[in-house]
Amino acid sequence: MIEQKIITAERNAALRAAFGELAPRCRELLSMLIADPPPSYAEISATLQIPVGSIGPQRARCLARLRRTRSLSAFMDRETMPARVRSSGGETGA
Amino acid sequence: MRDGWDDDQLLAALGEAVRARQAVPAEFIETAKNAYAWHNIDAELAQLSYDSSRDESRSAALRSEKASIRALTFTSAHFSIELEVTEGSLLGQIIPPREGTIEAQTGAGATTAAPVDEIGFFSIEPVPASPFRLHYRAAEGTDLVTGWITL
Repeated sequence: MIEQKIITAERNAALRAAFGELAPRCRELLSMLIADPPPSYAEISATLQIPVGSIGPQRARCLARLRRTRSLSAFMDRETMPARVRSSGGETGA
Repeated sequence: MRDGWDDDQLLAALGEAVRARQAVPAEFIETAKNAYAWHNIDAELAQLSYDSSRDESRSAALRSEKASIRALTFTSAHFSIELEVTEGSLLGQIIPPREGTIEAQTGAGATTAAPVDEIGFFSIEPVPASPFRLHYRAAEGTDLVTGWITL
C-alpha cells in the first residue's frame, strides 16, 4: 500500500520532470490535452494556432519526446514499467 | 524502453502526475499556514524540557507497569507547563499557578480551549490530534506557547 504510493509518487515526479524538459510548444499542447475536461481539437487549434489536422501528429511527437527525456527514460530503466498494454506502434526510433 | 505505455496511457499518467502535484500541497499549505500563524504571536515560547518517554531511568523502572502515563514538561523563562497524557485527556498544571485559559491547536488548525483554574490545573478532552501546541493566556497578561507536541 505505502510502497505502491511511493512508486506512484516517484513516477509522478519523473513524469513532471520529463514534462519540464519538453519544449514550450509541446508543454502547451500536452497541457491542453491533459486538461480536465479536455478541450476539443477545435479549441486547441484556435488557442495554439495550429491546424486541427496537425494536432494528432504533434501529440504523438510530443509524447515520443516525453518518453525520451532523461527524467522519464531513467525512471523507466529503473522501474521497468508494468506493461499493461504493449505499445502497438513501437518506439519512434531515435 | 520497450515495455511501456501507449500514447493514451502516457498522456493519462502525465495528467495524473500534474494533478497529483496540484492536490498534495493543499494539505501541506494548510499545515504550513497554521504553523506560521503562530510565528508572529507575541508570546513566550515554552520548550520541551522533560519527556518521560525519553527518560531511560524512568522507563526502566516502570517497564513492568502496563499503562505508563506519558509526562511532558515545557519550560519558559517564567513558567512551566506540566502535562500528563492519559487515555482520554490531557491533564496539565501551570507553574506558578495562575488562572487563565489554555488552547490546544493542531497542525490542521483545529482548536480546543479549556479553562485553567486558580490552582493552575487544566484538562483538555479529548487528547488533541498530533501534532499540536498549547497556548496559555493568563488574566494578567501572561502569554505562553509551547513547541509542537507529537504524542
